[in-house]
Amino acid sequence: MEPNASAPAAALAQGPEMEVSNALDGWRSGVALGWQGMTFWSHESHRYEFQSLALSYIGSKGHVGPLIHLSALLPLQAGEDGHVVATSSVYQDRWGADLLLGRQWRWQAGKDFEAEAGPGIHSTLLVLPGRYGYRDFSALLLGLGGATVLRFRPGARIVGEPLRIGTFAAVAFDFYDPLRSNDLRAGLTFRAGLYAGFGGR
Amino acid sequence: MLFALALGCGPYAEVGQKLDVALTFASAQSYVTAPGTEARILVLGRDASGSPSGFALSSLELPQAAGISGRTLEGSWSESGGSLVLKVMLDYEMPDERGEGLLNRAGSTRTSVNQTKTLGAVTSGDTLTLSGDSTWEGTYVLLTDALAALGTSTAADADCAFLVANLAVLTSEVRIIGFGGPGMLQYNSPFTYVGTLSGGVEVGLSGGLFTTSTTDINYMSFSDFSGVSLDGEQITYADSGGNGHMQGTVAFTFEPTTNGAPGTEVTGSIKYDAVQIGSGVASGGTYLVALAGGGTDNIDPVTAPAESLASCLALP
Repeated sequence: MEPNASAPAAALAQGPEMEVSNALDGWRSGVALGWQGMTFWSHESHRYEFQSLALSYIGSKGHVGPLIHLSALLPLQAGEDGHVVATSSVYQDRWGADLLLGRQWRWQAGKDFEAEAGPGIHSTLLVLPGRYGYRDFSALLLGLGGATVLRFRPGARIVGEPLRIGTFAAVAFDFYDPLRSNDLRAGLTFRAGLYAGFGGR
Repeated sequence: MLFALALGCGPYAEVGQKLDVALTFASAQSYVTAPGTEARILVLGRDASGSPSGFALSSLELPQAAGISGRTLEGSWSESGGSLVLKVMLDYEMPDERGEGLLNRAGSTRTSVNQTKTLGAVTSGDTLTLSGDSTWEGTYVLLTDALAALGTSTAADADCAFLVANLAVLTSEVRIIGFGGPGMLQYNSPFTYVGTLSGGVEVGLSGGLFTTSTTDINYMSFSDFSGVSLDGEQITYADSGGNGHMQGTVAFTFEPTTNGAPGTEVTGSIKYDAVQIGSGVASGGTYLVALAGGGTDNIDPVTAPAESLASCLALP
């Protein structure tokens, strides 16, 4: 029996696709620095807005797999119905946390670029105890969101894995607040910034 | 997360809201009327030169001795051709939330408003008759003159004294942001509210949403309207379900007048040691009221007052 002359060619034809698939596999871990803006409305028709600095951990696995964006927030500005304050002027402490947990799809977006995007469940917690004479503020918004990350591999390696830098963006729609007797009518959160991390091959 | 929860439930707070923006006056005339189970108190303040400055207009619901709800409007006032013009800037409300779950209660709130109420105002002796708004109209009597109707020696006198002193307790509660709801956790850092006429009331709380809490309300020569001042402490111990008991004694001082001339001071105290708390409100036990003139009585917080405020103060 003669060997199948087409087999080597078929194997070669599969090679680059397998390489791409393998390149997209594995964990991606990184930190991101960015800005988070959120606006939400109460059932009493008051509109709240918060602008925060966000320091995030962004992790994902596989070319189809889990996604996590976990952020620590520093609210810098707060507003209600157009009345805006610097949070440092009325709150003695100000912090928050944001979580997006879901599923992402990753694909090659050009030579040395990869992108990923996917939906997830979303939560934002804001805690602002007031200075003496000022009222505390807190909120816990729950909803659904999505995120996208664009990474570039410059060629360097960190902790033995390819260094990846890029940008990210996330958006969420919130509709439930268990901390505030569900006084939330609707809320929108947007977060974007720069990313640096490692992972893959 | 638990710390965040300890900052309380209930609706969203206002951003950057000051706890106390109450108006204070150099002098004031206070008037009272009591239609049915309601008490209405109008305080017309004047500045140091005697010109009209601020006002406070309160409505307190007293179907039971402890009181159940209240509302106070504040702003500036002026007179114009037989009318009292009230420019309302602040609207305080302490709603009746006894039917709400503890964590869903808003407690006392303050809203900034911009409204003008014009009431017909006719003065005759020490009465002021307001008309033009069913919420506030009525024949009001100068409060310090009305205080002269109070006795000091019988149980009925003690009942009346409690009703009057408790008006001052209630007007303070209406202005304490978050009072009656989980927003009281705000006062893990104690804060002092200023009395409209004098003194202050310090509010402090230790504990959290899911633990036993101790609320300490300390009146310091506190006066929200003419002729009535409070000194002393109310302490409330409650578990996470809002159940517990009270402790403490608040002394009251009434300074009656007769046609404006000072009369004999009435003093006494309300002892809270036997009051039971259920779901965050007075639910049983008694207030022990004692007058310096000898009158004493134990008053059930959840039953209708034995005496009406109108009869106590001989109001029309």
